[in-house]
Amino acid sequence: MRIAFLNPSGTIGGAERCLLDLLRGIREFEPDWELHVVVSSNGELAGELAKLGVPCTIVQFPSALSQLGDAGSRGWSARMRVAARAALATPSILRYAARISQFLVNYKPEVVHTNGLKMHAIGALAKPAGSVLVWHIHDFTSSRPVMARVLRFLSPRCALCIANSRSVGDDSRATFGSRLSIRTIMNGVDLLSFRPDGVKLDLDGMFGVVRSGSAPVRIGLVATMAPWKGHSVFLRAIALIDRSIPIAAYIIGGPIYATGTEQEKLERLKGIAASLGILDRVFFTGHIQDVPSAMRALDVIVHASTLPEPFGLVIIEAMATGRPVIVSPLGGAAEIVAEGSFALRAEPGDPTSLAHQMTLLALDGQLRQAMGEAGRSEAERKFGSLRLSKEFIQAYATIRPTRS
Amino acid sequence: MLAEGWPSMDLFLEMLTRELPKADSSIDVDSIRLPLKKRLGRVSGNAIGSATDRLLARHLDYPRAVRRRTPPADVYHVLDHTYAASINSLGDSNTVVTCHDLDAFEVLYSQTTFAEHVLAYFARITLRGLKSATHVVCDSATIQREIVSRGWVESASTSLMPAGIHPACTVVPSDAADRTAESLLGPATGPEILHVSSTIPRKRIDTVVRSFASVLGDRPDARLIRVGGPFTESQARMVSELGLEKSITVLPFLDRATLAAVYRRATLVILPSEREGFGLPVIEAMACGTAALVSDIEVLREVGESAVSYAPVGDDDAWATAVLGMLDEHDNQPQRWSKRIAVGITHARQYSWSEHARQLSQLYHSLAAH
Repeated sequence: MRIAFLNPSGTIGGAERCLLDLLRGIREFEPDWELHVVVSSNGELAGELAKLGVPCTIVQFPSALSQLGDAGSRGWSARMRVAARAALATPSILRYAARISQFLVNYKPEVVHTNGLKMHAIGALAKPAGSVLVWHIHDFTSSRPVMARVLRFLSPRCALCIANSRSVGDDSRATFGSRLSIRTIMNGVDLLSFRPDGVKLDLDGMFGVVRSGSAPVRIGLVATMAPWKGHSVFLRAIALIDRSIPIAAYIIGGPIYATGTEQEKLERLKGIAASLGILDRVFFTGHIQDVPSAMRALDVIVHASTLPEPFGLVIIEAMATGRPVIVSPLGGAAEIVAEGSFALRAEPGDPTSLAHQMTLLALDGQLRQAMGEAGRSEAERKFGSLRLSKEFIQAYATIRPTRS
Repeated sequence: MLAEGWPSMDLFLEMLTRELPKADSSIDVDSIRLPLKKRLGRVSGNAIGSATDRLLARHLDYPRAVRRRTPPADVYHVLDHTYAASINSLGDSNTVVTCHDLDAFEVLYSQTTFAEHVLAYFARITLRGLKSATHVVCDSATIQREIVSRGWVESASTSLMPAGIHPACTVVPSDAADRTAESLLGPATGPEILHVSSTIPRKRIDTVVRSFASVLGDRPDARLIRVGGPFTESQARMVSELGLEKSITVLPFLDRATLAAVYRRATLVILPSEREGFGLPVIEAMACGTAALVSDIEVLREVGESAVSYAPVGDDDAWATAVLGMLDEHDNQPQRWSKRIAVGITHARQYSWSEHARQLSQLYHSLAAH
């Protein structure tokens, strides 16, 4: 089997971590399969692919395409603006699709696997005859009204849509209708990298903090800097925690997308922290490549997204790392924490509710430990990345084209 | 091990059957739990008939089942003192009785009606069983002190082993249980004040109802949830006279997972009883991350310590004031409220069934060795 993967980002976010897990698993179970990844920009993803021994080609997104985004564009005027920008970008999109097509024609993959809405569209345009297209959907397509129309139009060219949660699967069904075959494969986590014991990021050293007494309870929000990840809710919750409770809060992560609307400006968050008077308790690490070591350095991991999460990878990563997690139960995040004793829940967008749960965990080491252990065993039972790879291998086999 | 079909006793049986083999694999647990034969209850269909059936079970059915059990056990443990008559015919066998409260023996001190004379007769037989037990286990030090000071058992023949917390009682939510709770109660629209108990007089349902009526004056969005079966006729009349029907929801006794979900969604658990053997709802509420307001009585001070708030028995105004104060703290002092809940969760952790089972297994071994 020969598979080409098209990924719309060179940096590593949730979808890329999932892709790396998938590739690692395929390498293990199907070592003879030929894999090749096309990424849209140079970055750490290329380095990680090299470590896995998976060849990678960088086909740079034109700037008109990389800055095109319609997330949350509600109302006719916003949609019209996005449509106009898309129309202007069409020539460069088509040129880009032609370059990808050229690559695919030469590579002759049996399966073209795309990540990200833009690459789903590019893949549909560029897919050569004799290949089948798999959309691995990590997002709620309905929240991208313009893109949803484009993908609905292109959906006959897709053989299989794989959604990373039931919520995303339901959303995809509502968007694409019954014409498209949709299957749910929940994301996985690399249980070896994300494990309870191992190297911990030296958070105090990073910020030059010298502590004389016992260490504080370290609470971290691990997320990209998109506004809907709830950074400001997290900061407001930290401000509500009683000063007598020894905590240190960390915002871990940086911007991943190039589109202006998707970036929460770091300076704005620091401004919020300053106005709340909590700069002494909150630390901003920026993007951290070694996420497992950052998670191990934390005592509590917070997921505070204010919109339904397509999946909520950070939750299963926290579980695998044996850390208790506070979850904003919307979308895929709610599916993960439906049962089990590893997560507390905070009302989405409600700092008081989040502060309450953080206080409980900050004051109770036994609860943290019990929840962490429960999370690890749940992750081992349900979310191992090898399970993900097996399900994908099975899915590819069912749609593999017959070649003479 | 003997137990009757009563929620708290079922809890003891369930947890000890689960935890004893873990504590000590050499212990082989066999339980005797008989279905209640409806002799008079079926004919008369009233409370007196049911009470008589229960009395006959305690004094006829269980003693017979224990006598007939073969081979004889190394240790017989009666999980509820009201069934202590079951061991009267066991002679020199090793017997343990868990004594939860002294309600069954109150009638010994005052009998005016014919029924009370009859009950006193049976209470004396029950007390003989308790006194003849090789060892008596108490949930609380208050009850332990009381049975020793009344000269019923020697201090050395008693142990203090508090009840534990069911694993379902946790601050961590469960979707299935939360859904069941929501199907019973609908969505939460305001503060929910929860009372979990039967309707017997010592539970002071009058205080629950009257103080809630005052609370509603200030907090019309408040709701009283009662778990433990319907009000008695007189209690229902009081509810009706005070016009509280729309603000009160009554649920039957619930399974532990659903009960835990009901605890979790409640703002406050109240327990205004004038007497309690232990006060299981107090530790269950704390374990579920819910604040508790309880009667200022010795046994509840012992169980709740500084992790709960107290109000004087029977002082309806004081209860209403305390409830309103706590609702205000919940709404307006989130930091203080969070610390209160955290203290409760930590405090509740000391009540552990595995520890209870560990102590029991040691007791069984020491008794069997003699």
